[in-house]
Amino acid sequence: MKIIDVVIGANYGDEGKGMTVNHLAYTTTLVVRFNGGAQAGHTVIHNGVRHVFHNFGSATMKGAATFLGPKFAIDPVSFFNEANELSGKINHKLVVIADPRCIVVTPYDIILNQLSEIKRGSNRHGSCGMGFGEAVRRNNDPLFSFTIEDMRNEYHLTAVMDKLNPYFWKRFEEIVKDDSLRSEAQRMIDDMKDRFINDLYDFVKLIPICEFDGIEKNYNHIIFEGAQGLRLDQNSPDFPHVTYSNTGLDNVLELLNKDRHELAVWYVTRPYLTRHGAGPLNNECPYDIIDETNKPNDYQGNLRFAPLDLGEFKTFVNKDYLKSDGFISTKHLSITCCDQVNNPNIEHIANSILANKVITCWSADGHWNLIEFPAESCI
Amino acid sequence: MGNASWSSTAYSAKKMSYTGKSREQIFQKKSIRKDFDPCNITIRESCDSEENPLSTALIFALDVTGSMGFIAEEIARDGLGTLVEGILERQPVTDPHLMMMAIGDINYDNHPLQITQFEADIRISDQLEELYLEGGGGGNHYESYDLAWAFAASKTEIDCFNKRGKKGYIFTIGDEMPPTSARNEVLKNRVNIDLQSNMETNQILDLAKEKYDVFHIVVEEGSYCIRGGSNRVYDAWTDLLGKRVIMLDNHRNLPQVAISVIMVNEGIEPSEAISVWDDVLVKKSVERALFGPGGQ
Repeated sequence: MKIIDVVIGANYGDEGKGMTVNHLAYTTTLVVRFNGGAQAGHTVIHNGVRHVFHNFGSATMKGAATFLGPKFAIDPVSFFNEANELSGKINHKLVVIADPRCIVVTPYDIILNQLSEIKRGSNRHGSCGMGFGEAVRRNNDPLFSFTIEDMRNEYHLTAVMDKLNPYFWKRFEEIVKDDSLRSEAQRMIDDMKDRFINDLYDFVKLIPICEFDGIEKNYNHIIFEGAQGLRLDQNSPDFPHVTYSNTGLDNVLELLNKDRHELAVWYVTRPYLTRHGAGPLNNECPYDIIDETNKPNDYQGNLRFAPLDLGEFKTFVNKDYLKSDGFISTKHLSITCCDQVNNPNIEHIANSILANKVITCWSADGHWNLIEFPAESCI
Repeated sequence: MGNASWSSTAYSAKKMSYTGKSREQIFQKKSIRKDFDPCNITIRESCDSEENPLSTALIFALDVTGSMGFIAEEIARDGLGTLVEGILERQPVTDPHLMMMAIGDINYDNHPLQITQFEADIRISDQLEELYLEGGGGGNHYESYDLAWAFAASKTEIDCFNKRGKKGYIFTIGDEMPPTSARNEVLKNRVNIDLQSNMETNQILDLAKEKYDVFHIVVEEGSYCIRGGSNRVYDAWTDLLGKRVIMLDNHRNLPQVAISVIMVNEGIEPSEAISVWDDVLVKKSVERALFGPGGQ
């Protein structure tokens, strides 16, 4: 049996999934991005070098390879921008393998996303304006879906902007409903199109394409890295302030086999609750915590804080963990940002979900402690 | 979540400000060079010449599979380059002719074997850049190190042995257990090597030993060694190769370790081979390599 580590955010994102992944990884690990897309932003400080991971596994600075899973949405422009940034921080080459089923985020999706967030004004969804939700929605329509598999076909590559154009204007009518934004939309399309096509070509040229089954046997250690958090799952009660993806175990289990794989699921949280963007947050309170990653952006509002409600925490975690029924699995906890509050209540948090192992992070650049609970406490 | 900022200006920029590297240089190479593919190779020759009247064939075969991770890349890009320079500079054998191989897994990899030319000078370094690192391998815990022996035995002609009866060298380098041999049918189809009949690993090794001194270097930082225990790997290799199993605790010291091993094999006292290195940590690495992890 091969043990697969799975790292899942327990809340609204910003839990510290990236630093957890980097901590658990070896130089030879394969990190699987199994949901979301470039809107994820996982901050890691490795040997003093800081990077916010969007399109790559968070252990890349350690040397780990990245697999972009079938539910990952790839924005090739964002991908190459990040690759370029990363190449200045590491000495090895990037190893990335992509599943043919990854959906592709096009300029259309980004433009629709941004225009609709502007239109929504104060009723924002909390979206980052990077087109992920629009791309997922578009790909539900077989006439207008566009995946990495389609990218292999050169005909599609050059013609894709024309092919998807009718969809864009139909959707524009639906959600923007504002003729004054038409010329702005057209200008944005013209601006982004060439770079997009160029980067599609480079992606096909440089990135090996392979399904998970074909690549997983080649790696002795695999980590599944979740984006967002359990409370942002598309089926979370917080709808519509959610993301169009499964943020828990669902996508992970689809790729694994209970006869060959054993799960070690790491739920990640801070000792307190954070949320950025719009949407409900119970007992919201001010907190003087410095957080460099989550600078407010034009489309997203600020990072907000609240105490961690252990009852809710337990409910979300256990509901997700139950999905692994049938697999051999263990449940673990990673608590980050322990240094940012006085006396973080580690034991209470761990007991609330009956965690097996607990790792705690005490500094942004990765000072970790491991606590293993006696077996009887984790029935 | 939590992407800081995004704007369409970043997206529409036609030219990116590269950190001095092209996209091709940032990502691992995606396909194999045709002339490195054993399917396109009939024979590789190391011949004496006016400049190299006493040529000696040296083959370094590196495991480039996923379990080696970026260590494979560092060795391929930097380590082997330094090794080449070191051998050319120190000349532990006369007129070295160097060949590099990249080894994967014959059962899983698309390209389980890649082979450069024999080169007498620094040109070999350029070919290292061209090796394709598949990142495959693993799974069965064996890499096809025996492909290096099979190729050397059946598809190299080396003047050092043919004309002067002096054996060449083969070093395989990796983190996993000794290989189990593939059926001859598979060898023929996948890597264009025909041994005439199905052979066991030790039989293939014996074929190679006719023309070469064969060593194996265990990269202890590879994930198989870390997770599987390097003693297990060492013991298994020792069963096959005896004292010609070299433990490498730091891949950056590969050049010094390999050169020292050759020096000792050529009759230089181990203590002298260790003393030529200035760096204390290098000395330690070399000592561990020459005397084994138990220091015997």
